Amino acid sequence: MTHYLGIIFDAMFTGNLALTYLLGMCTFLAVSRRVGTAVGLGLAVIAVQSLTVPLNQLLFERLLTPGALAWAGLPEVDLRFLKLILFIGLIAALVQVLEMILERYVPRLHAALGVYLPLLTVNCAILGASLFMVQRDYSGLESAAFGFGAGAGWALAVVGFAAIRERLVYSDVPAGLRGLGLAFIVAGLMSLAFSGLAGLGG
Amino acid sequence: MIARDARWWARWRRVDDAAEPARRAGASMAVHLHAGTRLPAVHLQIMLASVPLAVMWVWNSGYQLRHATQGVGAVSVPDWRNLWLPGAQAADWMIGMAQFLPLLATSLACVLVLEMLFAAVRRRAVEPGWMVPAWLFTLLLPAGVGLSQAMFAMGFGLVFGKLIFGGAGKHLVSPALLGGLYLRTAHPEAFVTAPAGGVVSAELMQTAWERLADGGVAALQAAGIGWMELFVGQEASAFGATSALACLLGAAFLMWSRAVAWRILAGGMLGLVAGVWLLGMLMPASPVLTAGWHWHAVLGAFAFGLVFLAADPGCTPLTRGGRWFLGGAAGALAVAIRVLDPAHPDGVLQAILLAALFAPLADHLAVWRAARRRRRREEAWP
Repeated sequence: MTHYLGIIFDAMFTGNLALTYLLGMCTFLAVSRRVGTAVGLGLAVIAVQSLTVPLNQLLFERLLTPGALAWAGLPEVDLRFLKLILFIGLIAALVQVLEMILERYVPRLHAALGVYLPLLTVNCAILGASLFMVQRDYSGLESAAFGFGAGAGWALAVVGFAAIRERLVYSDVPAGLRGLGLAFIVAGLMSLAFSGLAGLGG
Repeated sequence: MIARDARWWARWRRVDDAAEPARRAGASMAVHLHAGTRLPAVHLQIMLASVPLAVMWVWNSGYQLRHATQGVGAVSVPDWRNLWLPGAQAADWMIGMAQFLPLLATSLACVLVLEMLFAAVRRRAVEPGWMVPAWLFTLLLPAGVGLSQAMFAMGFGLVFGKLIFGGAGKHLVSPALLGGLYLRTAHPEAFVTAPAGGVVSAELMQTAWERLADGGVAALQAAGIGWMELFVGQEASAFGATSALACLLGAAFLMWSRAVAWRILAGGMLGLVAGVWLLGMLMPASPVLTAGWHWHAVLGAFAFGLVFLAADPGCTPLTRGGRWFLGGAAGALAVAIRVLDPAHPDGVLQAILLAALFAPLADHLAVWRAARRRRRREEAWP
């Protein structure tokens, strides 16, 4: 149990996808003007991550690793080079389903997320989590914990970032820095703060 | 020649004039200030409150350097700054002054130039409290930091912590803290084992934090550092920030004059106690936790960080909930970083930065909760 909590903690804080690895920056910067929308996006990312990482792990282990196809009489086949295509395919399918669900039940959030919801398909944070899963050799349960932690860490980052940007409306920022310029700098400051947590993990 | 003089005179007038309307009207600058009443007054109060810390900086750095040099048999630091000094008790003050004044002058000059540059380009007045970040930043420095290192760190902290946000009341985190964190990240060696020209033994100049991380309270006491020494601030570290006693005096004054939000300070202590208690249950074997919360409160820069950096009136959270959160998160995170990451320098600054960056979210939640409560009350009312 502590092991899985440790994986969640690491994925959220010491190896935060947004602020330590700077993954998924396009969505991070684009959908963080309002806290409400950022919360919706964060929940969507948590859902997508918690589903795609363990499912990708299952597919990777059962289809792609060397020897996985022994049941079909092909014990020497190594299909790991296909992992990118397979992962993206699965993520795309899941995001489609999520989009339909949101459009049906939470149309306001669906409209607020706009084009960035389908773009989660090619969001590097989502693909990155699956690739980290392969790199770190997680088992099924471990990858479920990691997927949830990675999504929750990214959601935490984007919601905190949105709250800062809402407050910055009252600042007196030089004209050239307004908008994205300042957002980049604030993201850098947040990343600097998270670097203090980098030594915490095992 | 005259034209150039006139230009500089105009630049200086811009610095001086900035204080004038505030001096006359008293409250005119208070629009964006979240705690306290009047911006110039608050800045003055912070400077006053930190004077005991500056005194401690000067005396303590001299004391530490003199003792460390005597430890290796040298009479005084063989450095041009104090070759002429007698090796007596009084020399502590002089050695300390020789370390302190160049750093203070560098930070002040750096801040003044940048403030004037921004004021000139953006056609705004220089703020009356422009000295405060430089002053607090200098207190955060360990002796022996290179002047250029101090200058770059101060410049980074001021520009990215304050100036691009438009000045006091509009920024997210104390610029002095950001400068200190820049120095910590770019030159981590400056904060562990305080350097002094390489002539003193590294062992004698080990910071209290390093000793605690290595061997717990026993190692501290073996080096002759008890709780009282830490409370007074007789430890090698960031010299101006070590004295919890001086911080306590400053905090009492600042709370009495209502320049800082007391909820941040109370929250910080609560967070510290809770963090020590909680982590003590999770990791009973950690050497860092052989020290109770009263040790952690006086160790390193914790007290200084809480009173002068976390509770910076220029970026205090707007809601009560936000203030409790900022203090509590900073205190708990500081302990967490100390316990879980003992190999690195003391993480008080990172803890405060992290807490301050999530304070707007706490503010947002507090406002949202209050709005919901009011809506419910109005719905319940027929």
